[in-house]
Amino acid sequence: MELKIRKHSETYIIDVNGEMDLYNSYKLKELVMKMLEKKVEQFVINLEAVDYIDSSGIGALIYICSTIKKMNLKLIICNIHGSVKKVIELTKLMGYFPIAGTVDEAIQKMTVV
Amino acid sequence: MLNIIEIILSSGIWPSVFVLTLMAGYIARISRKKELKSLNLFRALGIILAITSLSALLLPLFYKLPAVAPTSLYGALQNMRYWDPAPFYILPLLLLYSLMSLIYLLFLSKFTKKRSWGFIFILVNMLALLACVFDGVYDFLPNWSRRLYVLPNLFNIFYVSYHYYQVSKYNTERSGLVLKIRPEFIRINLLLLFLMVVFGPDNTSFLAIYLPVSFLVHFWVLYQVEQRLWLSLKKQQNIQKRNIKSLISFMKTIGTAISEKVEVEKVMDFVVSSALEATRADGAVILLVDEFEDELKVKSVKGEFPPPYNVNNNVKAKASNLATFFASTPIPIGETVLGEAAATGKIIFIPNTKNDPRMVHNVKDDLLHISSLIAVPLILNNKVLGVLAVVSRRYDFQFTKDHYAQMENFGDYTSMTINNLLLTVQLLEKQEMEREVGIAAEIQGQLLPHRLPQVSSISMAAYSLPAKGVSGDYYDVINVKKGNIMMVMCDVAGKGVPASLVMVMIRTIIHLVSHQKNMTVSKIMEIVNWGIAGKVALDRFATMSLLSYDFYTQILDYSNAAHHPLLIYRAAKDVFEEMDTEGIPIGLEKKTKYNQIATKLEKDDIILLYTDGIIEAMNDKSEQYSLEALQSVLREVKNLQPEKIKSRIIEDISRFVGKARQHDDQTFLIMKITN
Repeated sequence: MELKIRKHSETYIIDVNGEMDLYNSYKLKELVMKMLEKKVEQFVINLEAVDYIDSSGIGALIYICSTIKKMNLKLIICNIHGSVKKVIELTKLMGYFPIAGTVDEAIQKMTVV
Repeated sequence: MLNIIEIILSSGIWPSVFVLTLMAGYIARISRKKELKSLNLFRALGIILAITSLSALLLPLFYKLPAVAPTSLYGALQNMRYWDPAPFYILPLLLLYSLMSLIYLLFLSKFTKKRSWGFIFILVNMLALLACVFDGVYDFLPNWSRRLYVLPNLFNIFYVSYHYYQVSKYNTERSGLVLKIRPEFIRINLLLLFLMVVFGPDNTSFLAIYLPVSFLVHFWVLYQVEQRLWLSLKKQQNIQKRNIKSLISFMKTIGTAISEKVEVEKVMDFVVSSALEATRADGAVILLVDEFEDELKVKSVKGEFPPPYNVNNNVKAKASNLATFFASTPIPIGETVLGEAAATGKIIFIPNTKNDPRMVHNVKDDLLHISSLIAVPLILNNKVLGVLAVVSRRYDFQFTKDHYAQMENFGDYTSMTINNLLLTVQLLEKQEMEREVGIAAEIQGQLLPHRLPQVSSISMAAYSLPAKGVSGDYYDVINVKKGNIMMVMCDVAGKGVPASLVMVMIRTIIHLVSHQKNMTVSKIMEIVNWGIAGKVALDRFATMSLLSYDFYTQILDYSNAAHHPLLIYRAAKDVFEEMDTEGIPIGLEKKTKYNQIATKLEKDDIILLYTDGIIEAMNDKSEQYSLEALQSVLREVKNLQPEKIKSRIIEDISRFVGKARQHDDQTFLIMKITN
């Protein structure tokens, strides 16, 4: 799994690339925690290039999501598709995660809210 | 003919022929040293000297010869006074001086790379030479004026001296040679010119000594140049040897450092020390890119490395402050020379900081002073990992192309090493994780039921195959009370000890509460969720199905926390049904409410609880096994006993998956109503 960060005004977009599984999901968690330390307040996690996610990956997303919620900061997860979408639907977490279709939509949501 | 030979033999040119031969021999000697290609200019000088002296030798022959042949050397010298030797000495002397000066200026321009001197110099010399030639042919100038030839010579000496004295070690590369030869060159030439004026160009006895001596000056200069070039050549060869040596020892040490124990910091330290030693720099630093911040962070500094940017006066006041400041201040990519190297991916080589506007903060202040800098981006697969840089703080030591080449090599090897290192660290972390997984597997072994309860009216079978040593799946069958059993199917996120501990908690809670009176599956679900939510890390959530079955009423109660729905095969209608209830996974929110749903089962009905690993089992074409496939195999074997059904399902899945790697844990529980 590879993580890349880009910036769109105040919003940091994390592009996740590869499989999110037991062996690497912690990286995303660590990265977000590091960003929180740096006082980043708006996150978009882009799952466009993620084709496989296991329960650890979901776990990482839940962890990130709840941490950010607790701090009253903003997070949107976007481009959920394919088997990732299936897994999230199955675990009935579609409602739990703040979701947007594309990165642009996510940024738009971010600025509107 | 005899006369001519005698004149030549007795002329004052003779000693100069001796010196010229010496010089020709010397030039021949350096010509054999093929490495000294840059001496071409001096070979040209040798040839010009030869032509000049040859013309000096032959010119008297074209003038009128004395009437009486001299009988002795003294006689010849006496006679020469009569045939006015001045013009044919002055012309070659002038020519010699102007060509010499030209060569000296050309030589200088090799260092300064400037040729702005050309026009005036050539004009003055051309005029002087023309006047001399005309005088030789037409003899129109009065004899006394011939001493004026000193003027162009004086002009040449001062002109050359002026340009040589413009050179300092601060504005010119490799200025050492120029600095060394200029005082002697000027002193000796002025002395010679002075002697010439005193004795006059028509004093052949004087000329006989003067000419060879004047050549000796150039001889001395040539010797200096040769020595200098030869030394630098040797040094270069030594540097190359040392480069290879240091690179090899570098690779060796890194090799052992990695095989013994991977410590990224130590390897960084080692890279920096090696760069420092190999380039004989005063300071070396390695910075790595922080992907998140777009910054370079200092990882290791050796020697004195002043920040290559401006800092405020408080920091500047003390060397230790400066070092701490530099080590702890990240550099934005694109800013300062170090950031620029990272941004462009190109090596930045500043031989002399005085000539570079980027380094203006580092030339005045003593503590900040940098005289020369090389910054090499560490690149692997088009990605900049960091920057390795060295500086010189000595005024007299600047990096050369050799240092540049050396740093380039170092950079290449360092980026490969860092990459390998990071990969190794990842691998070790993975191994560590796998070891932990092993421990967890043991814990888990104790969790799953060793054998299923035997009851009269139902028959059961269970199967669980972990993907990587330990499963995140947990199933259980609990004999709650007479005539009532409970089944649990649970998938905990993650693996290893933490996930196993979550399983232990879930199992404990279920076993604790399931025996209590008036307990329903949804209530148990809520208690379990309440029990673990907030106590375990959020990413250790679990999906879980709970069902209880009463033999007497044949009623099945089912509650689901985001697990795969329960699959029921209704034997009477030969159909499959899926049962599900609302609810998010357990462990997320303490107050989640769960529902439950009931259904009546008949004889030969089969129920199946399973985890994702079953229906998502993948073959090497990345196709998933699917629920449909599971249903169709179940339909085929519906009449068999659960143990047989179980083995048929396993067979079918492994036939489908083929040689593909198992991706996820596979667990299922089958229950068939026998009565």
